[in-house]
Amino acid sequence: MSIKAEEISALIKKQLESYQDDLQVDEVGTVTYVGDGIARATGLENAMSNELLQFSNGSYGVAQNLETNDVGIIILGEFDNIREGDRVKRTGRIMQVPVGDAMIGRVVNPLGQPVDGQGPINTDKTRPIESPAPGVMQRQSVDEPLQTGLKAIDALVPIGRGQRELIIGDRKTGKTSIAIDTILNQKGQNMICIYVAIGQKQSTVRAQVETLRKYGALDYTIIVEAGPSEPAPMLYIAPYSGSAMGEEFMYNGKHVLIVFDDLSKQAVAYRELSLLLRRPPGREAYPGDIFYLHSRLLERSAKLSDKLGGGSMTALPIIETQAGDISAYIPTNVISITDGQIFLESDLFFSGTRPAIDAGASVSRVGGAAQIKAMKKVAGTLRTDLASYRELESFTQFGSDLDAATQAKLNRGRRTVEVLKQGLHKPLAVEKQVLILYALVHGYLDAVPVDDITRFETELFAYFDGTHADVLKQIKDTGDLPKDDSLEQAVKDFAAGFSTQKQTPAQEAAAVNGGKQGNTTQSQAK
Amino acid sequence: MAKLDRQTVGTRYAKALLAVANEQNNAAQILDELQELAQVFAAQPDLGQILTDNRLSALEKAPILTGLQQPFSKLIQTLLQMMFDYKRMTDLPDVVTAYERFYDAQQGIIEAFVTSVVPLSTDQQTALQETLAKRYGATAVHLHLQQDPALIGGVVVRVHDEVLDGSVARRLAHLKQALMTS
Repeated sequence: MSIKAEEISALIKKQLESYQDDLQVDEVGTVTYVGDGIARATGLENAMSNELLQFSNGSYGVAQNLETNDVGIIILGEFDNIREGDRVKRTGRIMQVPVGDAMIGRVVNPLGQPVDGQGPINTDKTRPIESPAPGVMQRQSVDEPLQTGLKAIDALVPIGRGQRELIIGDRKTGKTSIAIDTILNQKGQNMICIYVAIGQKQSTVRAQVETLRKYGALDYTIIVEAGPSEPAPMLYIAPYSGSAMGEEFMYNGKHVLIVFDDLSKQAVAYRELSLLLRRPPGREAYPGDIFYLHSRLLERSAKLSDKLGGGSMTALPIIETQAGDISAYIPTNVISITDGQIFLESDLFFSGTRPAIDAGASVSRVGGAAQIKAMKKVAGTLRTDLASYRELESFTQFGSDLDAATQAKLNRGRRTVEVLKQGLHKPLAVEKQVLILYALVHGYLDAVPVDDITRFETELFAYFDGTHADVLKQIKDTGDLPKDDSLEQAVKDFAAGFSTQKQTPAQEAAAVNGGKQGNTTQSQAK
Repeated sequence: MAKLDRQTVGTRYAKALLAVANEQNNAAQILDELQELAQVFAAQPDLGQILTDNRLSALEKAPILTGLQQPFSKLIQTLLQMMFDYKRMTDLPDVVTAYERFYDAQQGIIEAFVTSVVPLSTDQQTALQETLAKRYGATAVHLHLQQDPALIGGVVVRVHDEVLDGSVARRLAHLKQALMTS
């Protein structure tokens, strides 16, 4: 670092020469009420809706309610040292956040200011946080897959680039884990990820950042963070800021994945400030425009037409339900806005089926078109098979004699559930997903005991990586199953050489039935 | 019906009062009397509250009201009586403020709040008045002078909701910003 003093002086001299001095004319108002992140001010007669205002302590605010005698303002930042009688002035601008490549790899607050202690962000581009969604002619239908790396999602509820897929479930059912795993799997997929943490515990967010860093996902991820200790306005604008950052990439022809974790907390923050602004409360005390709050946000995620560069923004909003109640106000709203939902169930989660995706209640309204051909072939009937398995399973609880066909269905179902289980932060490449599902639907797993499925899977992948990498590569490159029987032959070879650990399927079935009969006798005895 | 806020009440009474005063051609005199009345209310902050308090009987309140009405003209007396009957006595200071505003607007008078480092000379004041009168198209400019050493130099003028900032402090802040961002 050697900057000469003369250089600096010359620079300042140049600056001073071009410095213009004119009278500054401001339009000001007077604060009449302040508290809870809200201020009201008289005056400001020409203030516009959503205009950025500045308080005398330097904090900014946004004009929300324009009323006869005063203006309702949400304060973004410090409001402890704003007093009644303070001046608040118009800026003539609307709220904007910095955007661009410099944001990638950073943790920022909803105003775009860094909070990761890694110095200032040097970007000269900004975008308004509220911007209209792309219109009808600016879009095209979703047809590119977004690989989440989770077998259960990519096979059952596939997500396309530009889709809005809701992740919904009770607390502690793995909603955030699905989102984080999806981000981890975007490595090398030409995708920029934005993780918007709204009202999440700061310790949790820290852990997520570390996870992303550990798996090298921070190189293509922006984290927007509004903690629970921040005033409600920050939580309210956080997803809009994140969307603005994503739009910059989308309109430049890039692909973006944005996760809103979670929108129920944003709705609560918006309810808080709406009530403080004295807007009339409606159902569950949410204001009348709570639907518009989420619909205008999620509409901004789109797949742009080729004319506009073909960029996309995929949204994964997260909603937390209370005791599985998806008919509450906010969940029904967001379900109706999004293009499908992934429904997580706590019963499944605690019984060890993780990710705890309820295959029956989860849907993807666009996804089918956004699956690679190979996946479509192997996963085509998986959903219905799984659904009929669940039905049969509850039916066979009564322990009657089962015919061979039913028995086979149950066997297959049990193995399907087992195959769809996946460890945390272990996203799987699509060709490997196709491989294991191929083995499943072609019956190669039927002879393997349920306990050995995981081992079968690992060894199958190792075997293919070692001796049949070309087959995997072919699936990856063409997106289709090989035309010849190379895949079938290889799987057959492997299955023949696989040694099961303890019992044959026949023994296992007998053990299950035996257990059932034991139960029935017990209940009869009572 | 929702409770009216103070400004709305003040505006309505003041508008009506000014209309009546204009008919009687004594708007200026009414303004003086109102300002006097406002001083009484400022000296006795509880006065409005006492006169609207339901716990006091009308008999108890009547002498206070009469005392208050005594020195004023017929119109103000009527106004006080009416506001007393409608239990609006607490809003009286707002009526005065609103009346001042309407009267100023009607007469083309503007109130300018001037902050400077050192007291302004008479010449400076006259020059400022003329400039402001031209800028806002006013017939008269009332200056309210104030001193604040924090400005370092220059003046800051506030008229209605507009602040004209010509202070050295603001210019320095601007310069600092310009140098920092380059």
